[in-house]
Amino acid sequence: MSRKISDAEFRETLDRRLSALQPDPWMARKVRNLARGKEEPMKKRFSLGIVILIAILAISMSVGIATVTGWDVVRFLYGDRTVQKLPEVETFPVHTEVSSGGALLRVESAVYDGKHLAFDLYFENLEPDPPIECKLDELTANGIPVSAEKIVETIDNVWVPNLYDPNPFLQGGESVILPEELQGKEILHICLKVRIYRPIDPVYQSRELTPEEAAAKTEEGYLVIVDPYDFIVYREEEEGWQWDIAGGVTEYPEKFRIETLEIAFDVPKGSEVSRVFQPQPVYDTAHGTASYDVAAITDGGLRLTLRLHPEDDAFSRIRDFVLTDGDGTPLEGDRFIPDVHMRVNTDGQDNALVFRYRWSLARLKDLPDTISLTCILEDGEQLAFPIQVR
Amino acid sequence: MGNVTGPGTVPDRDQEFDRLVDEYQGPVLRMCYLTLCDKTLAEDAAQETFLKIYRTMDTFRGECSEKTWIMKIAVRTCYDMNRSGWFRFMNRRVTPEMLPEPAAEETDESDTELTAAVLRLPLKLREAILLHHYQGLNVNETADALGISHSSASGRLKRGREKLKELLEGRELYEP
Repeated sequence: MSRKISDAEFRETLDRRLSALQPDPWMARKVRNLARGKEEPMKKRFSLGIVILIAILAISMSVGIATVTGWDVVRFLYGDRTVQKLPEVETFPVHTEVSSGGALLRVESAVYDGKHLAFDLYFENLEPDPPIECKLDELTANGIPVSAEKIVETIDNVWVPNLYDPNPFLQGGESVILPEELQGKEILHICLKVRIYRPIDPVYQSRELTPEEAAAKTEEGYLVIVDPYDFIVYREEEEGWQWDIAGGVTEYPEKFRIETLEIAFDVPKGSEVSRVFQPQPVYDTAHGTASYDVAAITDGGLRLTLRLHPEDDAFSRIRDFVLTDGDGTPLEGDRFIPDVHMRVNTDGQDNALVFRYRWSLARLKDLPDTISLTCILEDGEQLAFPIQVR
Repeated sequence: MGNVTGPGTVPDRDQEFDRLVDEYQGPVLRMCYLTLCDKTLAEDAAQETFLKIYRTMDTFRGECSEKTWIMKIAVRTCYDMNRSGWFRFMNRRVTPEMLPEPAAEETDESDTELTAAVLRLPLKLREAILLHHYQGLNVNETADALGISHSSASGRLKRGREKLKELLEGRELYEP
């Protein structure tokens, strides 16, 4: 049977079938913001697209770290799989906290190996209504500023709590490659300053708002927060409603009550950060085999790359993945985005699925003796790949 | 079809940019999706496309149509995303089940079949088919947007139509 499809019919069909792809009503404003140098923070979406981008960044970072530390990531990724045994990571207990009355900041432990510094951070909004924004203002070591670009992880640029996460706290950490003049010091005196931005006006939150809806709510006297990262302001100079990122709070001091928290602690030079685990060489499952290309601690944190070689359609039925302990209990509490990537390699005959997972270095002390990257299939079946950490 | 004017005051420029976003965001987003086969990537690519447009709109002098210029940027942006080493290992074959659920409008099985068939076309053929038959660029404009010669564009369109006919078991695009 042959039937001609006109261009008009072709267009209408594709438009109809792709009608879920809706234009973003904020696109023009977002683009103008980006063009003016305000970068949109990384959204915590677990879509394949974002995951891929994160993975690309992570690869670049891993190779960079390998160069800095002499640790040959590339060898683990692509070649010889000999696993090195490196010293145990020991964190230095800090146990320091400060409170402004409205917010609390706590550091429990830190690691410093002569080149890299990492510490955990716990930040809590003690009056969770309204949500607040925490911004890392300054980090110094021995009085020397550590520039923002050296900071690998931050906990700022998100409303606490928010519509996606009702918990009034953030838990994360900072992992920093120190400037050369600080490297090798026997002890670091760390000073961390954060500013807390608490809205003066009542807050209206929504995950999705059109500019018109946002304007109406703002006119009612609300500070409108759009999703966990953004908010709306009126800019007189532009005579318009302006979408802004949460990190942009610094530009509107009149809209916030600002508190400053300053926390200081010392951390002596300790053990090497890098360490590689010894996973089983090959895991046999009912659906195929698997092996870790990378199972290591680097100065970027725990890094796992699991490669699955399915022998049936299991890889198309994977619904989720979790980092669990040895008993299959998910490890909760890390607020960082797991660095996860699913890759179907169709090069040659090697059909493989790769998961990558990163865990904040500052929180390594929370890891149990045995961990596992565990894949959950659509029917609930779990495929666990345990590793002995200690 | 309007053309972007030269440098002006900031409000004029922003107003003009708003118009471009209003007019082309939908086509750019769908073009990016049909090229990249991933909704989130397409959204990222569309934003990147408009960022490039915003930064370069003062230099557009109307050497080609406004739509050709915009599609050229969109295609190039998707091409850059596709070109990365990591992406080369990606198999982003989209099955009908993987297509985003349509919004309120009614669709039928043949809509899904045609869309999935387009997505199964090799990328080079798909780009040409989409620019010409979907975005409505003529062959010269399609060639310009893809940075190839007129004869190459014609060849890709011909092969694209043949391949699509094969995938659709007989249904075919009109060949002008």
